[in-house]
Amino acid sequence: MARVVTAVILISVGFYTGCGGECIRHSDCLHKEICVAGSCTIDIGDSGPGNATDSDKQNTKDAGTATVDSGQSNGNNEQDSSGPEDETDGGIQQEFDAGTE
Amino acid sequence: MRSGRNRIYISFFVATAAVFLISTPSFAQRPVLEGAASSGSGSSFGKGDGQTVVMMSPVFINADVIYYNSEMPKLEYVIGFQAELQGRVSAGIVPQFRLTTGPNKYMGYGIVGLPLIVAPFVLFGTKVGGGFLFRFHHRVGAFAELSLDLFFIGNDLPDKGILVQLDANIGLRVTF
Repeated sequence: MARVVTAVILISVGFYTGCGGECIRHSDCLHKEICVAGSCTIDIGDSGPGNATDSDKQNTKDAGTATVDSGQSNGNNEQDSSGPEDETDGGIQQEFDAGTE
Repeated sequence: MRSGRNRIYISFFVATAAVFLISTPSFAQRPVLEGAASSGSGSSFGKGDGQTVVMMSPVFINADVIYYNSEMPKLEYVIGFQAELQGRVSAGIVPQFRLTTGPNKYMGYGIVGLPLIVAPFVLFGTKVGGGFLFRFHHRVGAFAELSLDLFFIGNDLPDKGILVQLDANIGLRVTF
């Protein structure tokens, strides 16, 4: 009987334990993340020219388009940094500003 | 001449094997085929950073094909098909043996199996467990199982990682 109760408690703990970035398997993590020592971390080995990690993307964005950042929200940083629009964002913004003036 | 004798030996051997393997059992045994469908979940345990990580096991569904014969009704051969449906979608196969108390209205059984998840990742391990079946109709029964799975091989596990799952599932079993 005690074993049954123990099993029920363990299963209940499992049901009510949230993720919170914890993992046991790689498939517990989001896409492009792997499970290391019980935590989901970004897969560094997956980064490359067309497949940058989130931190890489943020660094690229900060270095290359600082003037644009000051005038725009950061909500679409990741999307902007991976495309060819990166270098033309400033131009587009200037054209837009000129047009509205 | 010699090849003709060999042909006779081979024919005799094949015929004898056919008699023992096919004909004789058909007189003595009555094969029984059953199917089961169930769903469940539980707790997963794994190694964390100096501590044990406990998470909810992905909800899964099982479909089992169960075979036993009248000569050995307490030994069941089972091919189980399993799919995880929570957080990921995976498919696997679980061949297993079950030792039962016999095909009665109330039946308890123990399980030993080798679960193998094959897609989209690979996990392989061992499974032990037990269950209880209540036949409320001569062809239909309800069952509950408790199983302990230990996965130690697969590309879904971290380096040197081990996954332990304590799962429970409930379902229906039908005799064909």
